[in-house]
Amino acid sequence: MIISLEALETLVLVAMGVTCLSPIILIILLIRDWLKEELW
Amino acid sequence: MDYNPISINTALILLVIFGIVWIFFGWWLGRKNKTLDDFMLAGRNVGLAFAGATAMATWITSNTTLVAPQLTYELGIWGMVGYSLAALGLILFAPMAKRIKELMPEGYTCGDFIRVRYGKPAWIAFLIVSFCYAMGWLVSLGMAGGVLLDTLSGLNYKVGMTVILAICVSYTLLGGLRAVIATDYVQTIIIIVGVLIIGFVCYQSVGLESVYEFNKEKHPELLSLLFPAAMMFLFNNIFFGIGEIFHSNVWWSRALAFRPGIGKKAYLLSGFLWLPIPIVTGFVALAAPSLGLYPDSSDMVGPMVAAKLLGDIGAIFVFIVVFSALASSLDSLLAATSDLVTRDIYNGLIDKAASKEKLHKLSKLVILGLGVVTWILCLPKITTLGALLNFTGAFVASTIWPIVLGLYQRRMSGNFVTAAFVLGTTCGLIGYHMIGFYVAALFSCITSFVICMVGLIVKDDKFDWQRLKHMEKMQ
Repeated sequence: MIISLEALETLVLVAMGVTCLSPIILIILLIRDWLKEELW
Repeated sequence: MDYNPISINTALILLVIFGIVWIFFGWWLGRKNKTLDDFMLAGRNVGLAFAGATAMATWITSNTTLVAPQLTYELGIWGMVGYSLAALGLILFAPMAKRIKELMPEGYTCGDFIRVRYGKPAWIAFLIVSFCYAMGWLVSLGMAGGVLLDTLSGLNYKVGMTVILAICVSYTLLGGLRAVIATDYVQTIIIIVGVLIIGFVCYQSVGLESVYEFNKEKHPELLSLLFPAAMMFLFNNIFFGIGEIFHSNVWWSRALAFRPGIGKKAYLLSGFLWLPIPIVTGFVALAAPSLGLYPDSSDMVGPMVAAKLLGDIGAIFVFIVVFSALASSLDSLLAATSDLVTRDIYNGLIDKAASKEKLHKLSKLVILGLGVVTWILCLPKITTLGALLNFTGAFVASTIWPIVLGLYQRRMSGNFVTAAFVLGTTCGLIGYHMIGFYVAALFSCITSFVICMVGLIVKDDKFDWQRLKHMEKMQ
């Protein structure tokens, strides 16, 4: 029994989508912490 | 197979540039370190952005960029899914990070917790387990640095490994945890963008459908949902990942360094953002057979595919990503292990009256010493990265239940915890040698669980949580 092409494609595309969001979230948080003077 | 897409000179130039940037950054951040708390715990007031990024970057190691593709190449779909489930460790540690900060606001290490909570025998057993793991991880990272440079540029393994270790030791020494956390943030962004570009190019140029069809015909086991060894690996890796995070001072020191109220959010954020990364890096490895790449050393499959797809510039790109992943974990591990040696071994066993100023100076020497020991252990390239990493699974999985129960259950007693560490590790090692690497953590965790449950039933320790608040000294 092997994984279907559709399931593999969904898995990979969702993973790439979430990974795309990561740097955006981290940069927004950095700016927010910096503005609130809460970096350290 | 000779496969050196970048020249030795290019590799050396990149190393020099990165070395100068990171070491300067470490020195610049280190200027603010005045006390032991500044050096070891970045002032105990780290905000969410740095907290989330450092947890994520530390967990994205060379293993995520090198071993996740290796495991996908060897075990197929379950290899990459199993590896990504190591994120459960970060997610499950989130509430524990909050609890740790509340229970021991003046604590420095996980050793502090085990010592006060369970007593000296359990503490000694824990330190042995923890050092075996820390040295295994350090050596695996040092080796990865040498292997990376050797594969990508042909630079001698020993030279590459030495240079990478020297850079990481230097900036950690100069800046302490503050430098580690700030460089982790930058390295996280570099790694994620790099992984995304490689994954996207692979998806666009090779195509998921052709990868799927090729593997279906030539290597169907890679797409199999019923690959027994791979399924065992999946469960093993969950326990391994949880054990690694729950016991290691890398994660405890961060929980103590984060601003109050930040630990839980930071670990949840990093866990959910880390989860998909091994799937992206693993997918790249699935394309190897269809590209005609069959590497001699399977831990180099990811970089080789990326270098093949992206050409010479791509190889430089891969180098930067894997170097960042290596550095982000190596620095964290050096800092956290140095804390354990300074605080638990020196201050706990050798000089109980040492001042904080003395410990501050000593911790820098320990970082240097750890770098030298790691370098010596890395010189003979004894095993593959995956094998070394999984060997330590037998050690760390024995700590899961003692840590969890110690944080939340007053009944749990030190004698049973010591037995759980020792017998859990022993059973894990037996499983590793008799069956395979993919059962070491599983066996260790199950044995430790049974012993802890027996301990809970037969003995009530009636632990007073207030003893952790003020960090009792060893008698």
